[in-house]
Amino acid sequence: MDKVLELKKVSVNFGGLAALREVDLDVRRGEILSIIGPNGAGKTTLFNLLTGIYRPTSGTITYKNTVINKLKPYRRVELGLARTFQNTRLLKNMTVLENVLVVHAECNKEGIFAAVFNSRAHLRRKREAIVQECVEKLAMVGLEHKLDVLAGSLPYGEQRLLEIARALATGCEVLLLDEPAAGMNAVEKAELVKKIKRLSKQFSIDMILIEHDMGMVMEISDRIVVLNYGMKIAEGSPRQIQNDPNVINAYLGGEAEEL
Amino acid sequence: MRKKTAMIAVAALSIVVPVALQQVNDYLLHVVIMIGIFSVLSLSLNVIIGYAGQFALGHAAFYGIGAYAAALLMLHFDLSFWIALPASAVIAGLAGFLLGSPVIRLKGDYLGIVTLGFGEIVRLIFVGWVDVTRGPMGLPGIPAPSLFGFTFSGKLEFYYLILLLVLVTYFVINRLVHSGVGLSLLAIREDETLAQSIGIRPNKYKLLAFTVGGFFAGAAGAFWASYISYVSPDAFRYLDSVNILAMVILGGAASLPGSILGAVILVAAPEILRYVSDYRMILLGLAIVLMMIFKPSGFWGEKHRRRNFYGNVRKGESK
Repeated sequence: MDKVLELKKVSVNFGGLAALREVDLDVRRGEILSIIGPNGAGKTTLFNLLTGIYRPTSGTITYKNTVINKLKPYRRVELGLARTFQNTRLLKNMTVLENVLVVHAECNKEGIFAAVFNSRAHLRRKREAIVQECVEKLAMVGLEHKLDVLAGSLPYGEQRLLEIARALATGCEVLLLDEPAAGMNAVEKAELVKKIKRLSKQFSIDMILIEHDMGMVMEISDRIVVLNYGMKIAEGSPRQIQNDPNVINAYLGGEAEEL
Repeated sequence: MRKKTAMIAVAALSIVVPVALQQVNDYLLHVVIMIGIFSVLSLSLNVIIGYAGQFALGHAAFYGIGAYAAALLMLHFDLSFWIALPASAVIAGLAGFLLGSPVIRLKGDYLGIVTLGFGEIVRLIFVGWVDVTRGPMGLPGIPAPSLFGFTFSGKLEFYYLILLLVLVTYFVINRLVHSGVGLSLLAIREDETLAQSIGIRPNKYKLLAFTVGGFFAGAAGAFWASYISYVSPDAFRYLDSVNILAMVILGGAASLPGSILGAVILVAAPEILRYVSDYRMILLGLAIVLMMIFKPSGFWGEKHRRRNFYGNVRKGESK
């Protein structure tokens, strides 16, 4: 299977604290990969590393055969890596549609001179197409009926969906979801699982997921990576992970083994 | 439909009323022209403060740079007003770009302090660089604009000129903020870290805002120089920056009609309050304080922002 994203011996140190230690990881084409681990295991650090908010102290991150260690966040978005946040981060004072529009590449690249000097009809045609596309992205997560609602006034579950739609609108190929189900009830979670699976299969978007709800993780993932104290302690299919003694120790607090 | 009638009414009024005002006296017309100049200034500052969310306090510096650039170009190089105005706008835009390059790394109060410093430095250059600016004596004798042998001498002619400048400024900035660029600016204002992680380059857009803001402020400055026919450092003080800022805030940040409304109120109010002489600044200050308490989003705040990049497209769709 193709490796889309590959981490080789990646470490991140904050002063003396090693948040990630020599983590090897790869994401394969078309899969849903979950990253789990106890609090403070380095999951969110890993996400920040992938999206370019942190840089690795050592090691390499390769995306589609290019090393992206030093790329700025917006460059990575252009390359097709998009994320959602653990605490939803939306433009609360802007409408649902504007939240998606703002990330659309065409809308984003609209130049100043084009905006000022192009004819009204021309702009209108171009923008109608962009809006259309964004509405489609919103339809993919089921928010197309709330276009004009301010993002801040959406219920929590829908804010998360909006974040996903926004990430999709960047035209991403790899989507990083940071605890997408946090704060959702059981019904919303089931709905979310369905939507994520559909996005993954239908639109062939690779997913990397951080999640604490084990039921959901086991149901949704093709593969699971377990982190503890910044190290990878296990990797494999849901079934393998469930029976891995290291994982059980990490979660149930057995004696730490020599790793 | 109602909007169209309203627009025609405003257009008719803005053409006819000044003629009537002139019958009363020139002073009233002067006030209206000042409203025009400050409208351009507050519109341009609104791009920086209202849309990009950069709390800049040195807008009078761009105004001054535009005025001095126009004055020097017209006095020493005999350039006509029609070339000097765009040229000084470009120079002020360039100043905006140059100021922007280092300060876009700063946020909030720090940005305010640095831009405040910039404003003071520019004013001190006007005062201190005597060889070029004649210091506090200022530059007198700036020629009035002329077109095909016709010289703009009366207030009414200058009024129509500033009306045109306001319209052009409004048109360009309106187009700009209701576009992909405007949406990106708003996203940066709301959450810069987020903007980065969804593919927007904050630095590029912040620089753009400073450049556009400087450009139009420079144009206003060039008009002022030609209108008053004299420039001196006194017109570009810190207080003037604050005054423009107050117009933006009072009218409503991120609202273009608001900026004009703010300019109308803050230029007209001190003139109207002249009759209470000593108390006028106190009353004005009180009005602003009350305003901030009871209507912090300004007279024409963002709640009125219905027409966005997307809004006008969608109306067509629903037909």
